[in-house]
Amino acid sequence: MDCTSFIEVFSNNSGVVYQCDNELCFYVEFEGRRAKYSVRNLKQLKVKLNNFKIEEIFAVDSLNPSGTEIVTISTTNYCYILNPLQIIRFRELLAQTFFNLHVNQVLRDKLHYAVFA
Amino acid sequence: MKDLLRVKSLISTELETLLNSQIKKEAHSSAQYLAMSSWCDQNGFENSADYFFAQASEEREHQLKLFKYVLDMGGQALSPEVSSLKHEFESFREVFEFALETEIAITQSFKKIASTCHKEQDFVTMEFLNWFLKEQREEEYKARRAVELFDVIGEEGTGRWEIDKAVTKISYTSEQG
Ligand SMILES: [Fe+2]
Ligand SMILES: [Fe+2]
Repeated sequence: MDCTSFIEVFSNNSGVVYQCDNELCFYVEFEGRRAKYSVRNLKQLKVKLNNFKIEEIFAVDSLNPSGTEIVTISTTNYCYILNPLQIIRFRELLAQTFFNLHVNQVLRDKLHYAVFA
Repeated sequence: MKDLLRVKSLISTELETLLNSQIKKEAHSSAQYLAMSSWCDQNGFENSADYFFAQASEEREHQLKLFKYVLDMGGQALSPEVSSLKHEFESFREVFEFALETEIAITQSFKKIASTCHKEQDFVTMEFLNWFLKEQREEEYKARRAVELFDVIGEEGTGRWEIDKAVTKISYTSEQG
């Protein structure tokens, strides 16, 4: 990583999310693959992952018994082919990421903008 | 560390979601008023048909106003799908009772968004919402007044014909005198 303004937002066993303050974007590493996302695209990725109904995979009449899902985000070239476990892990990574982003938001409001003190 | 969510958008994710659902509700109201206009026209109540036709276009304006705000603030505005419209009514009166129900639901929905603005101390969006809160005074007033006409005039004889004429004269002024 050549960029010096990378800040780790969250990491766990399945990956890590960095924020780049220069480029105003995020770098997401999931199971060894790295991808660059704008704020808007990262939000979309989170929504798409959350929309999968994991429990339906295990239904007797499931239309998708393998449980494999393809995730693409328009305006990016990334494509993930994920099994149910990976979907759960990816969701977890992004949920914690957004939690930390919101904590950062609260802290910035208090310390940097000094409003609502 | 910069707050990128905030850099990109003035409104929170929660408010963005609420405003998008309001966009959908206004679109639904607009389409619903058109359906009412159609019913009134087919049943010979031409003034009421015009009244609902005009309401439909007002609701469309509300939808666009909200849509533009979400975009201007850096959010993602979603063009809504509209479904489950009511096309059939038991009576002339039911049409107006349904219109009042719809307006009450819209007011309640705006109250919920306003309370979220207070919770988040988003005074910018609150100020934007004030226009809608004031608008709802008029919307509910007119809808309630229309339903009252059924009791004041009565439906017997030429009653419904009179009511249809009186509907166009309903107006609301918040100031005295
Ligand atoms: Fe409206
Ligand atoms: Fe309305």
